[in-house]
Amino acid sequence: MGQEISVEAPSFYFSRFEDRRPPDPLPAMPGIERTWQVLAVINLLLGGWYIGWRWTSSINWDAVWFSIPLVVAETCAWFGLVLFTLNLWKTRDYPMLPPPQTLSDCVADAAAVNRHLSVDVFIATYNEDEELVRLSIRDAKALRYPHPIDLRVHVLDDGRRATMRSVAEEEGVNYISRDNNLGFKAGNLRNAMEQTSGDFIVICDADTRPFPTLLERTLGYFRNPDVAFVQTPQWFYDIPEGKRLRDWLGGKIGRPGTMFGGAVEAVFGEIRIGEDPFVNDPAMFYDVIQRRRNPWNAAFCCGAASIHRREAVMFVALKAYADAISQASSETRSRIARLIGRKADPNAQALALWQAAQTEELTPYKFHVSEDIYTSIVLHQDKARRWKSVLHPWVESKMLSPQDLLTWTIQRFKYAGGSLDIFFHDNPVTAPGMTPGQRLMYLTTFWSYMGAVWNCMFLIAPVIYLAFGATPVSAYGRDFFEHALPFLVVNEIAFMFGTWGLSGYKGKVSYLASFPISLRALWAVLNKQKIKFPVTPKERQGGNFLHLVYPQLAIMVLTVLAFGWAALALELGIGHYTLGGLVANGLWGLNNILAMSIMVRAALWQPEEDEA
Amino acid sequence: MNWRTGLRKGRSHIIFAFALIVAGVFLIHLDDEQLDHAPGRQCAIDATLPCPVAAP
Repeated sequence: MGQEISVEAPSFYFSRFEDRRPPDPLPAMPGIERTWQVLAVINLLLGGWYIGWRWTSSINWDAVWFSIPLVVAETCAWFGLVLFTLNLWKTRDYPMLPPPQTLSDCVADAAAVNRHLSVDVFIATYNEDEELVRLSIRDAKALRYPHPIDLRVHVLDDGRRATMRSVAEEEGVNYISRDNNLGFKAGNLRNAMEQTSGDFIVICDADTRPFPTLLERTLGYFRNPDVAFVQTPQWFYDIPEGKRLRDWLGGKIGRPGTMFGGAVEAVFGEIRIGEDPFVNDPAMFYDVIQRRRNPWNAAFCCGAASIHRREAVMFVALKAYADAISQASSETRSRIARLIGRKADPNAQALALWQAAQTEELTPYKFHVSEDIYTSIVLHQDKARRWKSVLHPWVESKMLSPQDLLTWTIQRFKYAGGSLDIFFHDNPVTAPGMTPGQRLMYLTTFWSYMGAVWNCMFLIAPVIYLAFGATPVSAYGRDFFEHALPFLVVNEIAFMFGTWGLSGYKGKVSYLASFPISLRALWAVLNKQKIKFPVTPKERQGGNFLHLVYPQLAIMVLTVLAFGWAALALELGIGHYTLGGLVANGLWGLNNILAMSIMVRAALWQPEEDEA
Repeated sequence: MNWRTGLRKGRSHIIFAFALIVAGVFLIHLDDEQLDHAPGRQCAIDATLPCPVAAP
């Protein structure tokens, strides 16, 4: 202690982005929303009409091995579209309320202790640069509040580093560690909960840097005593901005490039090359998907940058504890009953319960790779209390994005594996407790990860036609296009209005191109492999990452080769190719190649300073 | 957010929809042309009947 604020933080690659500010949330526009809803209904009807026609009138029975899997894939994708449409149906934010002055403003019992609030800020770290954590500590200390508040910042160091302890002491904040890494981040948080007592908990990762407004703009939601947690959008302030097309072309070919690029941008608007190569921008997820779950009370916690009511976290822990005791004691009761040959002995029951209570542990955070979703699910399932979750639309913190494909892949694998593990082993969609709307929203999340299976079909379908001449539809003729085109065109226009203000292209192709990650996660979960949860690196990893995109490269190469073969075969009159089939599948394959190329470019991406 | 900004942000949807329409119209035209030149082609008005007049 004593040297507070006297240590100068070193310069990082992201230091030059310190002045960047997050965008405001998308504005609520009733006219746009109504247009989206009308188009969305038309879109689903056209989609249903197309799917119905596919099943009843278009299946090519000569290639049933191909046509049936494809129509099944299309049907699954259409069902996913229905779910996604429900998710995006409307925006209804919770009203922001003034910051509470005392604890009695935030609890149902008006006679509660009338004292000012206490807040614990947890900064979980394992092996991140201590100076990076120092920046987060300083920002956490700078949190402001209009009323007296007991704010305590804690560094939760699972790396047990003396240097980290020194930084915490220099900054005048509490240092918490433990002698093991049981449960990784969830265990780290649990250990900290046991040693703290604040009414509210702010969860930060090592690189989460809260803005001063975080508490004054979010604690107001807790005036509603049923609000369990508030999730704020995550925002990456280090995402590469890329170069304007005219500048990029000018750098490559000089003045003609500048002029051509300028002309293109004059027609289509600003175009940036090399912008956000990993498609990390989380605006679509937080500002659209999560935010529009508020009306369903189904926004889920994503860990960093969330604020929790301690009572709710402990509620989850106690419920899990009670469930574990109940399950363990019933097993013990069965054993005792078998031993003594009697049933329903009250003494045996009491003994079994006591034994189970001794064995089980009170666990505030489930030791799971997706402990944040798990916590949300348990809260949403409680029918008696009906906890609420809030997605606050304003960005209240900044953090670092994955800077290389390996880190990005680890992160996405954890998300996919964690979600699918919950779906297959603790499915909240069928378990009792949730409202129908909440079930549908969780199903939307799980279904989106399952989408990798049918996306695979969409990636290989044009290759199959081009390579073997097998058609999944009876003919690529007028009938097919008259059913498919209205649906596909209206779908594009509908989602332009549904995600008004955001560009959906990168998210769409990234979803398609990340199929190997979701497939690997699905395979791991189905084989009951434990999804490990290593810390996602915060610094750029060196090396060549092309090996991570071999499946995408394979799709690209196979599509090109198959197209070449099909064109030759059509010219020579080999097989059953048609010009219509060649063009339709060629364009479909081109779309797939463009989508895959995003991941390949990400594997080869180098930051600007490395390029120089 | 004004319309211009909204449309600019959503231009990928517009471009994709436009490409679909162009490709679709081209492929339908291609299909019609092939049907016109196919031996034993059928009348567009009633597909069950053969066309009474040969195509020009």
